[in-house]
Amino acid sequence: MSVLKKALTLLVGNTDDLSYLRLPKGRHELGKMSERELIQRESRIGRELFGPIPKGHQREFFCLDDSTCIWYESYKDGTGKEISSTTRYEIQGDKVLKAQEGARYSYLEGKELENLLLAIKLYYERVMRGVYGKDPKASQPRV
Amino acid sequence: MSEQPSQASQSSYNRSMNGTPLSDRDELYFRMASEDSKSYETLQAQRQVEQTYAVPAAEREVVKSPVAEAHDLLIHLHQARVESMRPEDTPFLRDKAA
Repeated sequence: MSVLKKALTLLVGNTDDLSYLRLPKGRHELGKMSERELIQRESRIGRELFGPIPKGHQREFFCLDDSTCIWYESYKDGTGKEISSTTRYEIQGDKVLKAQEGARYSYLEGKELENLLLAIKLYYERVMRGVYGKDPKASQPRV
Repeated sequence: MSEQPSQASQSSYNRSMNGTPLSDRDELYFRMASEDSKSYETLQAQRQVEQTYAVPAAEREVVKSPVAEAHDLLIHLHQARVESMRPEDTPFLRDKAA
């Protein structure tokens, strides 16, 4: 019996099941995750930023790289046909290009732009804390 | 090229110094001249301070647009992601989305 186990037995009694001492699975394996897995974790936070997701809808919102965000939403219509849409937001200098399927492009303006910038800020704060375990205030980029 | 007090200000000032009574209009000119002269001196002093304590352009605080600020956040977040992912992992979605 190891010294640690003896000490634990003295402190808590039964030491047969020490699973509660293990780090939460997610945090423990963070260093081994692929970019895909990290983005999936980020998106779990991102999709909650825009309010409740309607029943039967699937939504994803994540930042693909250092200048692109993706919004994906899908649901089934009355006939059971799956409807989905993907929107890409690309930061280009002081503008944000919105690209949708069917080669529809436009630069964001007004309230829509404000909402996206706010969403990015919230996304940054929550993902930094929730996925990467960093304090977003302490690790704000120096500009 | 340095700025000088206006000609009208200078003439009002000279007349008041000669003891000639000033009309209301002259009074107004004189007051304006004094203010001109004051702002001229202030401007010179301000320039001197600016030249003495001039901050190189690169060190000046740049006011960024909200979009540029959001971009900085994304860059920072992406850095955190890259630091946390497997070294051998390659970005897969970028190619897929392109």
